[in-house]
This record gives sequence, C-alpha cells and structure tokens, in this order.
Amino acid sequence: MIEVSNLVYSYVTDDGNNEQVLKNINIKIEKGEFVAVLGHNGSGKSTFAKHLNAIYLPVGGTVYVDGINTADEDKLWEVRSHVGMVFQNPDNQIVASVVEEDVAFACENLSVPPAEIRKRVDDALETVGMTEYKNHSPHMLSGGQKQRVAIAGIIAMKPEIIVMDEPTAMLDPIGRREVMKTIEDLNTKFGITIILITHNMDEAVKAKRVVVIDSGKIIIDDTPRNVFKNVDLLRAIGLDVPQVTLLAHELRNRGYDIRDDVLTVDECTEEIYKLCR
Amino acid sequence: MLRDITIGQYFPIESPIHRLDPRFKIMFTLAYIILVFFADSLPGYIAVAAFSFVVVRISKIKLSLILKSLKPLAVIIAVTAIINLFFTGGENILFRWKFIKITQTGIVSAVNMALRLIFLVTGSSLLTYTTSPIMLTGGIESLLSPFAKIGLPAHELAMMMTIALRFIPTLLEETEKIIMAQKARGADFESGNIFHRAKALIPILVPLFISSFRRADELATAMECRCYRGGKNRTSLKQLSICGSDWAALCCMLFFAAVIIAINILDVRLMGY
Amino acid sequence: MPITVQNVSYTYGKGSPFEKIALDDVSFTINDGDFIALIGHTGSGKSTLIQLLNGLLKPDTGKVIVNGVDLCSEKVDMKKIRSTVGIVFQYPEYQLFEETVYKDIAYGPGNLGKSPEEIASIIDEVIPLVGLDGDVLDKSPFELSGGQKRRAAIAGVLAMQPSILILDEPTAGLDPAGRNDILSCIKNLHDKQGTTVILVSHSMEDVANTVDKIMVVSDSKLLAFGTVEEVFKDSEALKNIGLNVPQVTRVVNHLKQKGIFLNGDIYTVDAAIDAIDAYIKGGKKC
Repeated sequence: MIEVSNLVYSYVTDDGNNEQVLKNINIKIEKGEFVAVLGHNGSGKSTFAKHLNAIYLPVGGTVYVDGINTADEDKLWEVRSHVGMVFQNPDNQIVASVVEEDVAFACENLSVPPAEIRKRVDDALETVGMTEYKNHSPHMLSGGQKQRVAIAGIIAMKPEIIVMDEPTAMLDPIGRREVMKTIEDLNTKFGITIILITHNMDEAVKAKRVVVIDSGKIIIDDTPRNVFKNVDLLRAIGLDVPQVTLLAHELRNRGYDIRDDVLTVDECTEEIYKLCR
Repeated sequence: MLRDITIGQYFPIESPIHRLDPRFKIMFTLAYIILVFFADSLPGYIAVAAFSFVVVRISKIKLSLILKSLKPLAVIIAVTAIINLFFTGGENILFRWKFIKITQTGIVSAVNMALRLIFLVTGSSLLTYTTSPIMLTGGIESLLSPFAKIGLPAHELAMMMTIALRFIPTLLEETEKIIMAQKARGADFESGNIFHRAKALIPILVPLFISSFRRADELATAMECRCYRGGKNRTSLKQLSICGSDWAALCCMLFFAAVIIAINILDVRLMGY
Repeated sequence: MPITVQNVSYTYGKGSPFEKIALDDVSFTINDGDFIALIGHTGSGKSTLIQLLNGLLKPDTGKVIVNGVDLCSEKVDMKKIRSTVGIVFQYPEYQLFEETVYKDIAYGPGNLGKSPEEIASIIDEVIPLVGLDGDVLDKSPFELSGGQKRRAAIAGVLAMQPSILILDEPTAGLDPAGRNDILSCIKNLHDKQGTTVILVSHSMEDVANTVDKIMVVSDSKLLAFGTVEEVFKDSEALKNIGLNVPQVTRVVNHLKQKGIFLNGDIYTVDAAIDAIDAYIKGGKKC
C-alpha cells in the first residue's frame, strides 16, 4: 500500500529560482490496484513516480510504502525491493549482455542464494513469456521483447508494486500490445499493484483508476469512465481522450442523447445504434 | 561496416574449450602468451603452432574466423616486421642500399615479431570467442578478488567490463544512425584532407557523447532501482565450479609448457656446440 | 514524377551469417505534392526504404529515380539529392551538436555550400515553419525543452530546402499536445509550401487525420499503396499484419454489421459525426 500525504517537491534552478514541481500531493493506493497516471510532459508525473521508490525524497510531506517511510535511510533497499520501476527506454535499463543474467541482476544485489535466483529468474521469464530467449543477447531482441526482459528483471525482485514510467512510448504497436498484455497479467493474475504512467489514452482506459496530474497537482482521481468524460478539461491541459469518447462527446454537443462516458468501440457502437434505430 | 568488428565477440557453440572454467582459461591464455615469448626458435614456433592448431580444432571455431581476427591487425604486424627487418643491427649484412641494410639478425627478428603477434592475437581471440562475456568478467572478478584486500576494486572493474560489453553493440548501432542522419544533412566524411575529415567527425562525436552520458545516467538510476549497491554481499546466478576437464586441461597446458622449455634448453645447448 | 522506385531489392549483410532481406522487389511512384503515410512494423523494411530514397543506401537490384536522376548511376551529385530529399530520422533531437540552435540549423545548408547571407535568410524562413520563436536561435540546443529540441532538429532538415520531406515517426515520445503541434506543422508544410511529405507513423488515428495516401510495408514487401479510403477499406488485411483501422472506422464497420449503413468513407471523428447526423436527419435511411 502506498500513502502519500502533502507531498511537495521543489528544486533550485541555475538562475536561483525555486521551481516547485509537486505541490501538495495526497493519494492512497491500495494493494492490487491498477492506476494510470496522466499528465503532459513537465506536469510532474515522472517526479511523482520517482518518489514512490525513494529515487527522490520529499521536500515536504511524506511517502509511506507498506508502512515504511521512504525517507528512512536504513530501509532504503527494503523500499526499493518493494517498489519496482520500469522506464521508457528498454536499452538503458538492461545491464547484462545475456537475458537471464540481466533478469538475475536485482536478486544478486539482494543477496538471494543462487538456487533461489535460478528459480526466480525462470519464473520471471515464464511470466513475461521470454523463456525461449533466456540465453539471447538483449541487443538482438525487438523493443517489446527488451521491455519484457526489463519487466522480468523487476518481477524477479518480487515487488508488491511496479511503477511503469511510459513503458510503451518507444515501442511499435506490436511491442505495445505485448507489454500491455504483460502489465495486465501482472495485475490480474499475480495481484501486483501497477502504477502506469502513460500518454496513450487507450492504455489508460485499461486501468481501474486514472489520476490526472497538471502543474504538480492531482486534478482528477477517478475511474477511467468518470475521468474521460471531461473531454474539454483534458484537452485544455494538453491531453487526449480515446477517439470513441470524443465521438460520443461531439454527438452530445450536437444535441443527441448519448452517454458521455463511452470508452470502447463496442460501447460506442451500441450507443450510436440506439440513436439510429 | 562497424558491425563487422569481431573483437570481444563470443561464438556460442558446444565444445570442450567452451566448457572450461573461465578462470582456468584466462590463466591458460596468460601462460600461453608468456610461452610464446619464450619460444624464440624455429622448433619452438612449430610447437606453439601445433598446439594452437589443436586447441582451435577442439574449440570447433572455424580457422577462417581466427584468420579474420588477424585482419584488422595485419597492418600493425606488417609494420612491426618491416621495422625489425630494416632497423635491427647485426654483422651478417645480406643487402645494402644507401642507409638501408638488411642483416640476417634483422630477418630473424622480423619473422620472430610477426609470428609472436600472430600467436598472441590467436590466443586472445580464442579466449573471447569461446567464453561468454559474463563468464569472462566473472572469471576476472574471481581471479582479482584476492587483491580486493589490498584495495583493488575487483567487483567494480568486472561490472565496468560487463556494462561496456553490453553497450558496445548499442553504441555501434547508435553511431551508424547518427552517421546516416548527418549524411542526410549533407555531411561528407569521405573527401578532403585529414584536417577536414577530423573536423567532419565532430557532428558524430558530440551527439554520441551526449547520448552516452544520457544512457549512463538512466542506467545508473535503473540500477539503483534494482537495489545495486556495489559488490558487497552480492550473490551470483552462475557459480563458477572447477571440474575434471579443467584439471585435464591444466595437465595439457603443463605438458605444453614443458615442451617449450625443453626445446629452449635443447636449443641453447645446440647453439653452444 | 519526383520519385520512381522500380523493382528495388535490398539485403543487409550479404554473404554473412546475419544476412537479412530488407526489401524484396518493391515498385511504386510518388507524385509531386503527395502527402503519404508509410506504415509498417519495426523490421518490415520501411527504414531501409526511406534510406534508399535519398541515396543513403543503394539498392542491390532495381532503380530509384528522383526528379529524373537515377541514384544508382555513377555521376550523381549526392549533395543535390540530399537537398532534394530531406530525412528527419527518429528522435532527431539526438543529432543536435552545435553550440547554438542557429549554428545547428546552419549545418545542413553550410554543407551544401550556401553563403552566410543565404543561410541567414533560410533560417529566418524555417524557424516559423516549425513553430519556434526567433529568440531560441542563440540558445544552446541542449537548453531547450523536449518538444523545442525536436522542432529545432526538424528545422535543421528543412534548412536543406528539400522539395520532398521524409519524417520517421516525428511524434514519437511526445505528449498529445506536442504531437498535435508537430503534426499541424507538417500539414502546414504540405499545404502551404507544397512539399511532398512521407510520414512514417504507427498511429492510424493521426494518419487518417493528416495524409492523402497510405503505403503499407510488411515483411519486406509493399503490401498496399493507395488513398486512405482504398487502404482502410480492407481492414482485414491490415488486421492480419497486426495493424488496426482508426477506432471510428471500427465503430462504423460494426454498425454496418448491425444493419446501419452510414454514407461515405469514414476515418475521422468529424466525418463520423456528419454521417451520423445525416443518417438520423435523413429519416434513418442511407
């Protein structure tokens, strides 16, 4: 469980100004949730994410992860092994030149006995569907495969929570689908809490809860359905909505009686069918 | 193309040489290098050549690959041989033209140097061809660990090697991309004098350095997120273990050393008479 | 006819164990002023294809003819080709290298032998085209924000004054607002300057909103090349190679299965709204 209270983060810029990146963030994330975090570049969402595993420490307020204060230096590694983190560029998070060696990296750092590492590595590769590539060199893999290896490296650490910082941004549609499937599996089959930072609205729709951050504040925190119906607000802060949501929204603007919280192609078809019948 | 460089490349095939413990292989390679310098007579070189040939055959690495690894060094080998050929002093002058003279000692030392270099490259490429980078760095770390007590950062050195090996292909690919992009902006890397060509490299090197720093920064964060905190109390997925074939290989190596030393002693005696 | 590609094939690493066919017997013609989306997966051959179009790669067999010049012939003036066909590669901001944005943009025209005065006037011209302010010119490119860096890098290619512009996923990694800005800059270039544009993209929604024609490359072959309508009509063929038509088009197709036939070819939200409107107001007939 994550508990963030009155989180403030700021830094002093080169020209001496105090730049406030996060302003009084409050959020509670329960075990097993799947939360998408949206916000335009520079909104503070990545900074927020980096507070969850003590890469950044709060300037004001507190962040508790499974009851541990992330500012507690003695428990730093406990926090980091509880909260795994996957980044945008798969190339820059893979350390070793053999897939299974890389997956083992975190376990080796945590002094897990070799036999146990073997088991965790095999299980993690199985979970992301990369077992047959365990002896491959990462640079021969596709983007989606590399990202799955990076995820396996985190799973092997057995974290309760995984924070994903735009994990699909550099991938092609096939890679995106592979990675999203893996992320959904981790949440539904393995009960891992997922915090997914993304620019892709179709991915955010798959979450159970969507948090929108704008200029360092949480401005909306609700179900995808209730978040995306704020089409005008989201567009005003530089975000998007799924195309079908926009379609329903525009039809409402033309005076048609259509639900404003349409999220999927099927729902949209059903609603328009009702209108046309 | 840049990808053709085979230095440090690993060829994952099954062979007795591939299965040897990396620590033994590293020590064998060092011993082999020392022995190559020891064997400075014709019978000695024949013995080294025979030994090298047999090991290459056992390793199932194609001979052509070994020759390919010599190719980038062909110029260095040739230059070394030529320098030795012309600039070694000696009595027995065979040829003289103005200030250039070729002596018998010169020829001998030219052949000596060329052969030594060829054997050195063969030996060390055989090591990297048959040992995965991870095993190699693991072996080096394990061999250096006794020196950790006197302050040698064995783990850090091994980690540096691991990361370097991991990023060589990535950076080569990136270099190719940058070259393409600057070429598309009309850059010309092929014409002009040396000064112009060197200057033309700036648009490649600056982006390459900047991107390497960015990668290093991101990698460091990712490593911290995965609880990396130096070599202390680290465990390892793959444990190095010594087995019977390693000892058998050691015996072969000792036998080879004995042969070289014997040839040397005999040679000295023969010369004496 | 600025670009003609005839039976072009290309293989990487010929003769080595890593040999890989990148393009297999590809032919097509691109006309002046076309606005084309090039779609295909990583490894489909599309990167090879764009590099062939300005002579960065030479085809193994076949011909690439740009404005009547055969790129394979010996005496081609490569610099001239590079200035005719500009390529903005993926993440172009990673190629910035100069001390100032001005100098970086000047690199391309400088290579073409333009005088400082000409370069100054070119820079004046391209800066507004990418939506940058003149005051960034004296800054270091590394001080700019992500979106600004990308625009500066695109300006560096535009400064070559190409009549054909190829952009490889110019919106990758940007947030929705940044993406829309870049796309509208590109649309502007095509509409106002008459530049022929080839846009590599993965987003079918973006593609439908901007381009006129679509080229699909899959498995080293040219799978489809035609107007947006022609290519999206065969949504099954696209699905087979893991691509999808825009969401609104899927809605329209589903409605069709339910017996509701909307008029016209619908690939954008605006078109869908008009069609639905017309359908309902027109007494629910098609």
